[in-house]
Amino acid sequence: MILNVVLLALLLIPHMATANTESNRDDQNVQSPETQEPEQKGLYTVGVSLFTSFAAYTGAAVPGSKEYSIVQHFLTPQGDRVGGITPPRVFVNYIPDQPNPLYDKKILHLNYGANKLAAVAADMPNVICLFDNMLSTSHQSIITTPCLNDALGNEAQEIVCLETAITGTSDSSLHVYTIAAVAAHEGFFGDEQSGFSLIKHHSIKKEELTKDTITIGKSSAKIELNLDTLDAVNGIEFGNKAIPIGVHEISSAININNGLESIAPNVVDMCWHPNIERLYIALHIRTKSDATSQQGGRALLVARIHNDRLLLDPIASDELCYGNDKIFGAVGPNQEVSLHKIQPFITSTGIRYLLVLGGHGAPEETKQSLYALPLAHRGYDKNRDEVMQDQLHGTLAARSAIPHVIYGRDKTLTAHLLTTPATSINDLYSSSDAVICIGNNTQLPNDITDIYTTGDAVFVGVAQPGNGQQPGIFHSQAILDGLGRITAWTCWQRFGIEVGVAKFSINPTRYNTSFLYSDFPLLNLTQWKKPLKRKKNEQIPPPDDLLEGLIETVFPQENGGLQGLADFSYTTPGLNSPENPVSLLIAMGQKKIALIQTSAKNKNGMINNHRNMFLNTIATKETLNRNQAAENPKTLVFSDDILGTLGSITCATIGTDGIQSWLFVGGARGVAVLCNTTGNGWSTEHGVISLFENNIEAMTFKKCGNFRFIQKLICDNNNLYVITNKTVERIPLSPTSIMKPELTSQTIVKTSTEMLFDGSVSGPLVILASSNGLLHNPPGTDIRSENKTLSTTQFKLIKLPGSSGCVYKLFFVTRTRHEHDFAFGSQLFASTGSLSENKTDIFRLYVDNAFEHGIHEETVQVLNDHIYKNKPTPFLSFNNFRSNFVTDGSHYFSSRSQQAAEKPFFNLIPQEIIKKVFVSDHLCYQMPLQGHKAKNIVKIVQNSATGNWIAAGDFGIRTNE
Amino acid sequence: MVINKNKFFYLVIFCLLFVEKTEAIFAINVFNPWDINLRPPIWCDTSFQITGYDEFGLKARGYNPDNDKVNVMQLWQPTQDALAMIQSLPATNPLRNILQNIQDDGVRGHFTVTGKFDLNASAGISARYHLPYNITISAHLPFYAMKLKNVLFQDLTLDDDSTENLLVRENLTDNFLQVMEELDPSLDLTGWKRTGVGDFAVFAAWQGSYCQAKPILKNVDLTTRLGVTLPSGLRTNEDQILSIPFGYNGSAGLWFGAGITLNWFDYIRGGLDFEFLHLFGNSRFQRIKIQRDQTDLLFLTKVYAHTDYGFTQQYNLYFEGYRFFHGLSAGMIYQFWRHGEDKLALFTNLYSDDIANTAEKLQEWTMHQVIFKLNYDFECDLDACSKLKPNIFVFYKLPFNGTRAILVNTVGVAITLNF
Repeated sequence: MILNVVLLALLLIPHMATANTESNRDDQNVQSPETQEPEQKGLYTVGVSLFTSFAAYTGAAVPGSKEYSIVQHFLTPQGDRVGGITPPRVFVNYIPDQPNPLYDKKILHLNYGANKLAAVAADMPNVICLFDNMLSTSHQSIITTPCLNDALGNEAQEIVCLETAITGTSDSSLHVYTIAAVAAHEGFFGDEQSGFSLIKHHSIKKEELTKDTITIGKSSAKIELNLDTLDAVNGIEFGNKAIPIGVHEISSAININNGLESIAPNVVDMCWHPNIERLYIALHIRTKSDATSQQGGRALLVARIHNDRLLLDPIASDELCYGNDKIFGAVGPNQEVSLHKIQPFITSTGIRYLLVLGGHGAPEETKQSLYALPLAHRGYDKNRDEVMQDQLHGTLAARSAIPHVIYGRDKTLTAHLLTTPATSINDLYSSSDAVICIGNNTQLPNDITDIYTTGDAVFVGVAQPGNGQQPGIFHSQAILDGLGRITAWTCWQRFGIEVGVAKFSINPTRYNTSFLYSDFPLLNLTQWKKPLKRKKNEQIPPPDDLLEGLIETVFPQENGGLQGLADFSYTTPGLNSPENPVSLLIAMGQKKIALIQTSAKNKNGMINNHRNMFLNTIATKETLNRNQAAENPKTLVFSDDILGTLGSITCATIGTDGIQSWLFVGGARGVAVLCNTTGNGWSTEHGVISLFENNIEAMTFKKCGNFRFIQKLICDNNNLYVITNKTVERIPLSPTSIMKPELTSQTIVKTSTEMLFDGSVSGPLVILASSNGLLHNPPGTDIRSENKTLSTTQFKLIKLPGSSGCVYKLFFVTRTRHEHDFAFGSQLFASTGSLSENKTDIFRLYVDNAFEHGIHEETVQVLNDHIYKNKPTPFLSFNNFRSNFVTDGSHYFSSRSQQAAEKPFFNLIPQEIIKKVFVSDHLCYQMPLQGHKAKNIVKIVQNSATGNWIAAGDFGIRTNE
Repeated sequence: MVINKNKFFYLVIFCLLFVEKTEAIFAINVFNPWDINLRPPIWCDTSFQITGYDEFGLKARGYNPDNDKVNVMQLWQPTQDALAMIQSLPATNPLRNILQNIQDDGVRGHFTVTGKFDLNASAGISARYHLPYNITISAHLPFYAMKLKNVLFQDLTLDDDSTENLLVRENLTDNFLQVMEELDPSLDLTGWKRTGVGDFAVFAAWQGSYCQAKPILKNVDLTTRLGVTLPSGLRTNEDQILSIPFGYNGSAGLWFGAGITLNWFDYIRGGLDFEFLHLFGNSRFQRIKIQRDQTDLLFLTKVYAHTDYGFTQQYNLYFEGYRFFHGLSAGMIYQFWRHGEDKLALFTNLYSDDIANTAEKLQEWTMHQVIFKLNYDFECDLDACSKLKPNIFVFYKLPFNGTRAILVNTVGVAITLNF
């Protein structure tokens, strides 16, 4: 469900009034900008905007918005409290009742840092207005700087970019600075005289002030803030002089051997990396037309603050920039490097990175390229002052750098640090390295407009459609190797939203997304759909035509509801027909399954994600054969005798031999395959859409083999693997073997005494979750070609420190998002524990690339997630049993079905709790379920088409929309 | 009659030899021989009384923790959770391996257990000797005969084909008794029949009677008593399902009681009496709960543990027409029992005391019942010189509420001979 918060209506609310929009939440769908009241348009436009984790700020694009020049939106769980924060008269520099310099103005820039909002108005483009007391309506206080000067000491033309820096000191106090990229006097940023101004925040105690100074409200009566515009070159107080960017210096932080031609005017982005305490500056540069292979420029700078001076350093030395495969710089004639946005990033293992949007190339070619560059942290064996003065601190780390684990005095983990900077050209990643390519080199619809990071996940906003996809928010997750370094990224996955997004943020606790439309001043908020409110035993049809309604209709709770749910994206082999790629959600219940199209290609060649109109488009084999099915059915329901023999159907997979594709389903009593009388499935070339369109009389489910207690079905490399509770079977995929699987199937793994609860196969590697622990096939073996039955006693047992033994659930994060690709290098989350102990520990592991390296002793490595020195701890430890655990890198979901008298629950673990390892229920956000009716939660899956997370169980499904 | 002091001493020593084992005091509403309601009146010029009684169970039912009437096998839990029992097995157990993470949906692996409990007899004999200064000493020995039969385990696991239910049915519930035989050959889930003595008790009482020169209130009787019970009774058989001890299960107890009886118009009496029991805690091997969802009839783990008993209180509120026709009295008694929570302390670190102490059978229990009685005292009809001076007392017990208790409707008779 998407909530619309209409800002314009709220503009009528008096000065600093707030409005709670919670009452409007329950029954709203996406309200397109076109459906808004006409007067809502034009009254207010959003120019700049700024999202923090708890609030959003928008600045007026044109003058005339009066006190709504800047609007503040508090994104609280109770609703969004919005209001203008620029009343006509305020305290200015601690003098009361002064005209507000921001009132009724167009806003050029906004920046938030150190709990202060900074703004630049269009009519004073070289003055920073800092909100000292933003929340108090009666005592709002704004502090202004004088007009900032350029590098020559002349009044700067304008401020181009703002950033806040907080630096520590050896005596543990903090210094706060505002850094402004300023254009040259009557010129641009990028000119020789342009540069960076440094403004220091001085906190002054009241007793030090003169009698004439009037203090403001109670809360700030003791401390007043003074903005000191420093001479950024020499550190002189109130010197008000910017440090020049050095574009024409022969060799500077930006210029490589005088090869730099120009910096694109007024294009700059800055970010302060709090974990490195360095400022990073991103630019667009062009090299000279006569530049040699050793002349060029760097578009990425690193700056440090030392003794109130700003010092610009090269991100990497000149020699490291040679060759034009670098992201941050280029050499040679007429080369362009266009960096659009930069952002700090720190992995859950504590390793520092810098996200860089852009790269080597023209601006329009590089707006979809997002990279994560590792940064060197030199604080391993040096004191703080030495680290802060170290020019190599914060520069690019060597690709071979081994993280140093830093423990604090209390022996708790402080950080993993890459201490080795890049010193040779081989130490640097090139733009083609998968390690740094966020999104695993997959295509986004269009240019990235915003970046948001949390945990190990990166989210990006896209404003325009393209590449056959709608715009929206997309997500990629870092895959960490055994040492905690990023080794790969998952491909881009849509994250719920399907409209143009200008800015957004994700609520760290509730996982709701707040976003600003790219083309309209409207703020939206996604949230977890609440259960339908029904009286006990009330039988009413589902009120909507969404997926929830479909599932509730086809799989009623009295028949057990959903027993399984599987998602297959349109890139899944077998569904990835070039003509008709289709994403499928396969819902499974008692003796029945439903194939639900969640996306398909429309006539315009765009991938169309289905969010509603499910109920009216249900077809069955019978209705299709009688031509009584709805036109373009999206849901195909199968329920026949063979499915009836499988018991509860819990797992499904799609396999292909390249020509034919099949759907396999499994349950307690066996496996069945959808095929015709000759063993053929659907044509891989034409895709699964043919099942929905054609007469499928010949297609029936056929029992496949004689298996019981199926834990998982997985297809890989033209084989179907059936993981039962005691064996792993392999069946080659071909019509012949489909017809007579008993002739071709082979038991490749057999347990000795243990039970198998989960497992997966990818290429040569099989990983099994068993009652004895986590196992993989022995080094040197290849499960694809193994001809004899391996006993689990031969398998390698992966030691999980502190684990009780039983591993019952696996969750893979793979580059392609297909589980059967986990052997290409993936993250594995293994759930250990048991109901009897009533606890669950989650271990995080790295699966090495078995395709390249084969199976060896270190194929599966446990990440060093120990928070205490010499005391092994899991990645996460729950104080009760969890049957499901999944993550997208930003948040962690877990659930448990009913256990005796305890009701089932489905909760969300915020990122900040993760750092504490031990997760208590009261710290988690409890997702709404179907009240007293819910008993089982069988699966948590992400809908690959829409990106919504779905919790499935006997109650149906719950989604975040 | 003169009591042989040596024999009495040896009897006490003999009984003390059994003071080693205890479990919870079992909540069943049979009379103790020293119950105030079985105490006969003291005849003039007699110093010795012998009372024999017997009560027969008519209908037994359980009262669960919610005070609902249930089958006696459900007095602690409505269903028995075999899956939780499996969780209590060692990690190496193959059956636990198979079923260890199958979740309990409320019926999966659950059994409704029913059985028929018969109280064939609850009898006893008491001897009282009246000393000067209104002091009486007495000795009591009860006898019991009980039977638990027709124990049935009805599987509640859904008969569908979900993987979980199929695994549970095939491996656990379809052949439950056979599985239990393999898991714990010593545990008998089929019922039992037991006959034997209960705990021997010795009491000393003082009873004072104070005439009142008032038009309505004619007399006030005060009584107080102190006694000990010695563990001579049959104890719980840990290997039998719902085994009931005949007494305090091997524990010695200390009783204190007092009461007041008011006589109005010489033929109406009413009064209040209370008794408190302190049971001495002790240690023994017993079955304990080691998983938080385990149910009380399916404990597989035996450990050595110390039990501290809760405090037991018994209150009687009575009203009767006293000798309104010759020696005939008729009355009604409301009797209330309350026993506090027992606490286990395990002599092992393998299991959690906290979990063990969540067993329902260790929790507080209560019993409420009304006793209707008819009493005929032949003192009025016999000559004062008669050597045999009987008193006949018949009663009917009507239990009507309780918590975690087996309450039996009983009828009984008691005969007292005075010498």
